[in-house]
Amino acid sequence: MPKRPPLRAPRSQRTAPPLDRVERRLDRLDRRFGASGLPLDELLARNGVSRREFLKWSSFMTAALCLPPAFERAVARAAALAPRVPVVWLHLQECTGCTESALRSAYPGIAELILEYLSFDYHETIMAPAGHAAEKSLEDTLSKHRGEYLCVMEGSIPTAMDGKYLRLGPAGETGLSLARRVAADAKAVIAIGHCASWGGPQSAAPNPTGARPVHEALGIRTIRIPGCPYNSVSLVGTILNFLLVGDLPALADGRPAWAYAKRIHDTCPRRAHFDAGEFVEQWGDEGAKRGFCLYKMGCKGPYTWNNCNEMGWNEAASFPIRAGHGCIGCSENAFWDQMAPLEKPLADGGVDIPFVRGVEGTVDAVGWALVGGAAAGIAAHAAYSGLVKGTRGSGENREE
Amino acid sequence: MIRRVRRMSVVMRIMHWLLALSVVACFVTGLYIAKPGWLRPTGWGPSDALVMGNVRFVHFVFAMLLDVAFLVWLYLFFFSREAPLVRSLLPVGRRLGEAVRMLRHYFTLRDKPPTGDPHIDPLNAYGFLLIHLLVFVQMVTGFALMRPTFSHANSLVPVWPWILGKAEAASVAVLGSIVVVREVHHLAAFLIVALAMVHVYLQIWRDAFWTEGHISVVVSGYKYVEDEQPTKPT
Repeated sequence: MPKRPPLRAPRSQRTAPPLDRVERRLDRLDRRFGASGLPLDELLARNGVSRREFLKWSSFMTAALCLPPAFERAVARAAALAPRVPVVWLHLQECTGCTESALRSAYPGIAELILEYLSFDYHETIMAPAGHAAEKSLEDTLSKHRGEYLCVMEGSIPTAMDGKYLRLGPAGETGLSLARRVAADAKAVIAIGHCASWGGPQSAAPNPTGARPVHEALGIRTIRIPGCPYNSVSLVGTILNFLLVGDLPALADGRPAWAYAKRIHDTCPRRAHFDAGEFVEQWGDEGAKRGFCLYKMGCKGPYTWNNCNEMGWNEAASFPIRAGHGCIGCSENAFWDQMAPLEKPLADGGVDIPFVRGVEGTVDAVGWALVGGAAAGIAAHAAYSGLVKGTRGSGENREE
Repeated sequence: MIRRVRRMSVVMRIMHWLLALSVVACFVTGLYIAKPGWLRPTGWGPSDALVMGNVRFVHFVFAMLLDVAFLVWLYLFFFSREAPLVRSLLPVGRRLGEAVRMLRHYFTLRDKPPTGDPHIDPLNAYGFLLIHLLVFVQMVTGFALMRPTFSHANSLVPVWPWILGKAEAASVAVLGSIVVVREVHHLAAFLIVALAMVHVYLQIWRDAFWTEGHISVVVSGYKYVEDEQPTKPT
């Protein structure tokens, strides 16, 4: 069962890690991986990103990770190291939308650039080799960087029929077996997007392929970075956190707390209109033009924990609520089943009546039916009582 | 001879009306919060309207009153000096038999059970138990839904966020997700209102058909029974 973010991080995680330990760790990583991959300076210069922009971005990431300003230099160092750490990126049961989201931005920000140039030793979408050659580079990474590589899994894992719904590579290995093999020796497994984190639409009822999120299918601990797609800032921040402290960040509901501990509704730019009672009644009405609250158009912000409000998308240009559509709750478990219809408020959402599967009404309709049933019963009983009293004579009650 | 029977202590009566008022207030405001259809601020321009904010405030205040009434009721349930409700429920076997007898009476209008007892009749007691269990569900799920907007920064009593956090953890553990918690909160409200409707009807019905002044019980604390010799006609 999913757990909500705790009110506070455990005491051990409440304070920032000691800076000197972080520096020593970065020195060590520099010696180990410093020679491989592209230097970040060169990478940024080639893409027209100035040193000043990079430092601004480092401050931004330091603040996002809830670290004190003294860590800015360490974060910049970790960012420079990030493209050199070996990463194995597995595509499982998914649409590649998460990869696309990170790699295809028209004006990639520094986060996207770091993602693009991560030392992807195995990434089915962007790697040059194919077939057996690709398979060989995977095996090389697994043996050469045993226990050191980061594993990013995109997509859920079908478990029905022994995982036969998903076969990958020239040998036709099942996704289940491949994921198990790669996860076994990984430094950490990051589940990217809703599918890997919670199962995605393919795990929605009736879930014919037995699709499960990575942590359930493999029975391992993952860092979940859900979203459809996820925000690249959240992934880069998690990788930086790894480089800085070599451990999991504080987790909320299995998700990095620095990114997922706040509810969309509470930091929403339209929240004032919610409190005022000013709502969009239909698409394109006067309220929509004035940026009123989208609650009545089915916004699921009140049930969704994510950092869209703070980080935004496409270089913080916008995100769904700012663009005029309600949140669909894509970072929450089973949103496909529970939050549909996505453009209606939950009061109009379908409700499965327990033990009567398939019977579906809206929450409101079921409620009013209950009250109506009570009223009908009362009326029937009143009429019956009156009738009996009339036929038996008014004396009977007194005689009893 | 007509005898006066004391049925409800003054604390019980106050808690009863507090509960009734809070249920109505919470239900009406809850309907608005779930689907804000009415009470629209006028005009399109900038305004200092705070309709949803105020409605939620009223909802929370009455919810707190409801919770207080519930906790007092819970105490009286076991420790009331006059008539602990638990005595109307135990021993279960015999009380259930009495409740079924009352239910049969409601549907056949024959064999009225004796009503001279100063305790609440078991059928009513089981009904109240159900309503209060639902109030408890509302309390826990309501705290769970309230948790995200509540932090250490804006709470007067430090234990408060802890309580809300526990309520959220418990209800999410039982129900699966905050969305289901929200739906259960919504449905339980309708269930409480349906039960309250039946309750109000039955009290009016008893007053009209038994002519023992049942409505008076919750106003003055007394009802009036005719001490009859148990003769069985027909």
